[in-house]
Amino acid sequence: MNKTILIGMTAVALSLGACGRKAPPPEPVLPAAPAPVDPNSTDPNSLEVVELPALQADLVAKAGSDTIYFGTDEYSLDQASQATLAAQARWLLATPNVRASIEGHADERGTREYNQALGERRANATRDFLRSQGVPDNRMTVTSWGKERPVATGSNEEAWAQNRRAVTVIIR
Amino acid sequence: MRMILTLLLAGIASTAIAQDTQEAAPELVGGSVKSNVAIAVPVMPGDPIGRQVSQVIVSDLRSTGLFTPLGPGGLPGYSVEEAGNPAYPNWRNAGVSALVSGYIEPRPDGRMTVACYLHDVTAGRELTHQGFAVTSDNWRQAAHKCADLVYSRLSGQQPFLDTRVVYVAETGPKNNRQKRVAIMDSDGSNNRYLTVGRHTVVTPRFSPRGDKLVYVSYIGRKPRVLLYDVASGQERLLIPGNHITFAPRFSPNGRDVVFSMAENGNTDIYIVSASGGQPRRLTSVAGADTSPSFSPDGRQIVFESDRSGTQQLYVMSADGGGQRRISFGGGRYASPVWSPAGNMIAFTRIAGNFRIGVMNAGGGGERILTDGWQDEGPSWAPNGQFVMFHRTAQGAGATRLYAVPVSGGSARIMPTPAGGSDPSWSPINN
Amino acid sequence: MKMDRAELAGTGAALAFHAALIAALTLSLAHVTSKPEPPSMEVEFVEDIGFEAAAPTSIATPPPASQAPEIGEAPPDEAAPAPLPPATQPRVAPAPTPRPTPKVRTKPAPAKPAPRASRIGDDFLKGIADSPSKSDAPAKPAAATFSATARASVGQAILRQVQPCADRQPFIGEDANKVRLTINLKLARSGRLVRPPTVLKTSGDPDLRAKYGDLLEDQVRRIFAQCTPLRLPAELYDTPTGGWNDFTFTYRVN
Repeated sequence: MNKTILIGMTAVALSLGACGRKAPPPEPVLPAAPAPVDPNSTDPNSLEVVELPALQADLVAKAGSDTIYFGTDEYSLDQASQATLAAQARWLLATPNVRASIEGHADERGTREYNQALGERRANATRDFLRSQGVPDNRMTVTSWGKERPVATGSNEEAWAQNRRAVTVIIR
Repeated sequence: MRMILTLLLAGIASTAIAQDTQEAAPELVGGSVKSNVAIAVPVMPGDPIGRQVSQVIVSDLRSTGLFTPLGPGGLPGYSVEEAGNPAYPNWRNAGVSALVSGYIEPRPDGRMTVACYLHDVTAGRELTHQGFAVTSDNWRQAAHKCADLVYSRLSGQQPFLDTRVVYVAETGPKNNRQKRVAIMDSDGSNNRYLTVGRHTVVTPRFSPRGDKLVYVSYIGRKPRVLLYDVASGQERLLIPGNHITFAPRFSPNGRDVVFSMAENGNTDIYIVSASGGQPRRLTSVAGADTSPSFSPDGRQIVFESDRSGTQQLYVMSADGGGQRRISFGGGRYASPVWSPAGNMIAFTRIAGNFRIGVMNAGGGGERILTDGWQDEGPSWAPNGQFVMFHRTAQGAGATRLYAVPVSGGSARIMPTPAGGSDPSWSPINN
Repeated sequence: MKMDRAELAGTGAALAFHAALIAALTLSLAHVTSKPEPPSMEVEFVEDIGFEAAAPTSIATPPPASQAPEIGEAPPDEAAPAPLPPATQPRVAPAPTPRPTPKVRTKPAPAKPAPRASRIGDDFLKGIADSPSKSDAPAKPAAATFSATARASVGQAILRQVQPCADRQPFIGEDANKVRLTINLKLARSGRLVRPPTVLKTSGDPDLRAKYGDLLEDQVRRIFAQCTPLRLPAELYDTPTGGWNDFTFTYRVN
């Protein structure tokens, strides 16, 4: 049953991809539009998401950063964060056919499930700001990594400050 | 006349005195000495596996914190015929108070019987015995059942040794941690992995009968609750589509799963049938409502919420009504879990450090059980006497499972092959 | 519709990507994420273990002849005459690798409380002196009266003698002290029990009784296994008005 849906979706995607003219893509090469997720599927394997590292690097180069930071237990955006997000929004608007996974993180000094909620608060605030800068909702998805993906490994305020963040991840 | 009256009065008086003395039986008061029971577990005769059976019993009894087990090495052996009839004076001379004996015998159907006897050496009598028929490769379970028989009879508690633990096995550095769902016997043996480690996984929990799990996988870069059938390995998303779902737990009848869903900056608690269908929303106040846990009678749910400004514990009816705060001890409170008997709630208390504590189910009576830097995620043993949790070290963030007696005492590290977190203790097997 | 070079390249790339997508997803859908568990093992509880020679109940078969001939409790202080070897000698070689730590202690001699004899002071009979015998001859045992005071004194003497064993009983729970047993003993003239102590009554909350009743009875049986024989006046063993052959008391923990 799942394979039938997949092949059907792929057939639709194929036909869509072959029609029409596109503007010549800037460096690097853009992928075609992604296959939509079946909202009723309970197959975990239907959820895979594909990162686009070359475009991620382009975002960082052109917007300055793909990451903004937060205070302890906070999810409000300071001025620096807003400036960074405004630049990210401009990049997204200039780079159609990719989506952004807005990913919230928390430091280790919180319990596991609360941090999953806190990460979502951070990602949600970030997504709301990007939306206010004109990025459409259907190009963004929000997620939370809780405390599962620290970048800094110390148990001190410097490390924790680097881990309280929201990252804009470019996905297909 | 006076004489008769005097005699009568004397008679009544002496009868009264005699009756008083007869009714007030003298009272003997016993000691309540807190010390471990020295218990001998020699090698069980009848089959070479008897040595390992005795070793598992020794290790199980030691893990209860109530015994000083001796053996199986260094103890005299005995024959199958002597299992039910030991030489008590010898054991008394050896300074042991109790003795576990038994034997192993093949059965006509190819299985084996493991016979288990518990003796009170001091009183020179047998306290109990039971036989367990198992396939030969399931000898471990017979050993756990024997240890449970001994533990229950000598402590008055319900058993807890023939159980499993599902948890997250952790390997690798803090910034590239590989996490896999793992199941093991609660003595650390038979450890195996249920996921391959491609996606981060957290908080696996057993169903009430131990036949299913719910856990959270970061498949597709989002935390999502999966429902997993232990026997077949089949799994599916609890909630289809693109939602952030986490913190799942089964209801006591195994039919529903309560969980958190995060959307638009707010996290609320929902409940859904384990066989699929529309989830029902239970909380809606602005704030992060998470870590729900059912009372054993299925009527109430304890959860954490920061609606007051900080993480605190709340209790509500299973339909979401009557939400009221129960934690008032200063500090923040998280990850509550209702005890199997319904009388207590375990939690993580955050006040500088993260420590495991218990309180009465109605609130109050709070006792902190551990003393780590970051102890969190409690899970009750099925007899309510122990709580398992994970402890994270500062710096490199190595995480290990520990078990601590609820009545007080040191936490004991669990023998996992690698790091471990988010333990969930199964009910008694079978 | 005429396609230029760029469109051809784009379409070709799109076709290639889609073919790769189908291939990858097909393979991943066929992949099983985890191994199924083998069918759960069953434990069957077997009731009647034991041998033809041994009864499947908790009453042990008569002990070997080297033990005391009394039925019921095995006496604790008979180790000295027993010809059985000390427990450190393994009768079967259980392991090829000997364990370095000697786990078994042997007592050199039975250390029974010597004060047992002196527990009853010379003034033991003071309390019962108020039932004087009027005859000149030494009172025959049958003539002694088991008065209320005598009963009380004998009861206190029994409990004093067993108190050291009672003191050694282990902690069994915070609320164990809310349960009380009423115990009856039948004693032989030797001061040993004729039969195991009988629990006449267990009082307290029903849940606590269920939890601690057996454990408290265990304690009573251990106490009277270890701290007997009792030393009590022979003439008060069995009189027309009673005697210490039959003794009832209550037991609880502190």
